Amino acid sequence: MNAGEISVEGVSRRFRIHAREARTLKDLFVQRGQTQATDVWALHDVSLGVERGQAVGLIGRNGSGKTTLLRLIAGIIKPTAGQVRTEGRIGSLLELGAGFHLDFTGRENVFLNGAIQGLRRADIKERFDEIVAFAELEHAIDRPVRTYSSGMTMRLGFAIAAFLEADILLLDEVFAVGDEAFQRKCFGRIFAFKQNGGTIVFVSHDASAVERLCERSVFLDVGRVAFDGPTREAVTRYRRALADDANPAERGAGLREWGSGEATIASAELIGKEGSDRLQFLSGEPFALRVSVAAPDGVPPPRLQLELRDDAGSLLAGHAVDLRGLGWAGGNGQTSVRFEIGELPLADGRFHLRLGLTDESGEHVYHWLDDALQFVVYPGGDERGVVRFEGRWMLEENSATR
Amino acid sequence: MSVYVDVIRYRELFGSLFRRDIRAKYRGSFLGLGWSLLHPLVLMLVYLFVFSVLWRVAEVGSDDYWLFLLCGLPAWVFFATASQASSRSLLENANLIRKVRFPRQLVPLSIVGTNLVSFAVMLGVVVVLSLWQVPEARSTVWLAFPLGALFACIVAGFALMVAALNALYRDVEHLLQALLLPWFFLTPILYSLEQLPGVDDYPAAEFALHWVNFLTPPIEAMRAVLFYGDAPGAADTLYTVVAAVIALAVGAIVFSRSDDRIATEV
Repeated sequence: MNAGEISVEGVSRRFRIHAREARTLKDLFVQRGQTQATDVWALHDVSLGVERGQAVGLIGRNGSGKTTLLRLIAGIIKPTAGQVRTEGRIGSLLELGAGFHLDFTGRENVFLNGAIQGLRRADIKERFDEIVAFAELEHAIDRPVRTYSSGMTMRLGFAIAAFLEADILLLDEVFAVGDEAFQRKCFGRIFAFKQNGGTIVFVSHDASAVERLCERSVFLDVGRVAFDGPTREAVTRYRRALADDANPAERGAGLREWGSGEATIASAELIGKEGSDRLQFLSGEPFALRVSVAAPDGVPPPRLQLELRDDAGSLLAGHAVDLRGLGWAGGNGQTSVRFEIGELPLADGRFHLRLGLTDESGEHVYHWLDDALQFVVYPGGDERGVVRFEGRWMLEENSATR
Repeated sequence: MSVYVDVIRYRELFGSLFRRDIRAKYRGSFLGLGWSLLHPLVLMLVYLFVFSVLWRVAEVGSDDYWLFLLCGLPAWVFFATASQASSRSLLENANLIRKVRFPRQLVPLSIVGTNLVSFAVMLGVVVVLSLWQVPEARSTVWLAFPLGALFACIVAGFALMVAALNALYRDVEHLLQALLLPWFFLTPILYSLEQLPGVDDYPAAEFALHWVNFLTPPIEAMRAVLFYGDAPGAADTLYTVVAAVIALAVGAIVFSRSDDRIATEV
C-alpha cells in the first residue's frame, strides 16, 4: 500500500449496549445473568477502498454508522470482523479541540494537542506561528483556553489539525467553525490539502458540504453501504431516503424544474483545469461548463440560457447562446456544448447556476433547471468579496519628485 | 508487552501528557512540588502525635519512631494516590480517548509518573534523614532506590489494571477508595510486624499481612535498608521482584484486553 491509501475489507462492528448507562461491578456480581446486554451491529460487511488524493464523503442518517466507520479508520476502535488497513499518517478531526486543557494557555494546548495527534515538538514549534495566524488568535494565544469563546476554541482546534501534514485527513462534522468567512477559510485549507494529494474522508449530515468537497461518496444505510459512487448520485439517494422517511409527498419538491420537455438538458457539469468534474474552484482558476442537450428530430436547435446567482438568489450574470450559432443543426438527438473561462472572475463564496433551454425567441421554455449546479469558489490569495478584480497595477510617472 | 514499549515509542507524547499532569497537579499553587512533601509530612505528624505521644503504643525500641514511620509512609502515599488518581484518569480524558487515536495506556501511566516524582522526592528526603540519624544504615541506604523502582513497577501495573477496570465498571474507583483505609492499617507502616503482640497467637494473620498483602514485602525491604541498616530480607526482595513482574504483566494484559472497550465505554 502507498501512503494515503485506505482499505476497508468486509468490516463489521458490534457494540454491546447495556441497559444501564454505565456498568458496575455490582451489576456484574449481584444481578448475574439478568444484565440485559443487546448487541447492535453498527456496521455490517462494509468494504471500501480509497486511493491517495481522493476525497470521499460518508453520508447517511443518524446511526447509520458513519462515525463508527471513521473511528475504525482512525484506529480508535477495532473491527469485530474484517480488516481496516491504512498507510501513512492519519490526522483526525473528529472533534475540534478534543483534549484541550482549559487551564492551559492556547500556546500550551497547541503543543499538547499536536503531541496527541502525533507531531514532534520540533515540528510544532516550526509551524506554531502559522497555526496561530490561521486561527486568528495572535492576541489571545497566551491566555488560558478557559477564557476563549467556543468559536475561538474550535478555530484553534481546526488550525492545529489543519497544519498536521497528514497523508489522510478524517473529518467529522467539523465545519461549524466560527463565522462563515472562517468556514470558507477552513474549506479552502482542506481543499488545498486535497489538491496537494492528501486523502480525505469526510462525514457530514450536510449533503451540500459533502458535495462541495468530495467527488465520490458512500451512502451508509443502517450500517451497510447502500451506494458508493459519484457524490451527486449518493446525495440524491440520501435525500430520497430522507424524504421517504419524512413525508412521501415532499419527495422531489426540492427539484425546481419545469418546461414543456420537447428538448431537455441531459446533464451538466463543471470542469476544472485537470479536465475532471468538480464543484470547487480556486479564484482565478480555469473553469469550464459542459452541458449535454437532447433535442429529438423536428425540434429546431434551441437556445441555452445561463444564469449565475449567489446564495441569496441575486442574479450576478446572465448569458445565452444559440446552439445553431455554434454549428449544431439539430436532428441528431444529443450534443454537448462547452463554455470555457480562462480565469474564473469570482473571488469567494457559493454560487448557483441556472440553466434553461428555450426556443430561439426565448419565449417558449423547453426545460428549465433552477439550481442545476452549485459550486464554491475559494480565495486563491487575498481576494475578498464576490468578484475577482482583473487588472494590473503599475507605477505612473511620478511627477511629485520632479 | 507493547503496552510499555509504546511509552518509549511515544515518549514525546508521554512527555507532553506528563508535563500536563504535573502542571495540572501543582498549577498555581504556592508550594508547587512542596505539596508532595507536605502531604506525608502532615500525615506523619498526626500519626506521630497520636501513636507516639498520646498513645505510646508503637514504640519501636527507640525514640526514632518518627523515622520508622517516615520510612514506610512514602511508599504507601505513592501507591494510594497513584492508584486512586489513575482509576479516574481514563474517564477524565474520555473526550480525547473517544476522538483521537493514541496509546491510551499513556494516560494512567503519566499519572503514575507524576506521583513517582513525589515519591522520589519523599524517598530522597528520607534517605537524607536516615543518613543523618542512622549511622549503621550508611552502606545500605542506596538500596532504597532500586527497591523504590521495583515498587514503582508494582504501582504502575496495579494502576493500569484499576484504570482499565474503572472504565468498564464505574464503581471500581469507589471500591478502591473504600479498600484503601483498611488496607493502610493492614500494611505494616504504623507498626512493625515483629512487634505486634498478637502475631504469636495468630500466625496465619501474620502470614497474610506479610505475604498476601503485596505491599508488605517491598515496604519491609525498604525499611530494612533505611531504618535498620540491614540488607533487605532475601524473601522480601525476591517477593518484590516477582510482584513487580507479575503486576506489570497483569496490568498490561488487563489493559490490552479491555483497550477496545475502553474507547467505546468511557
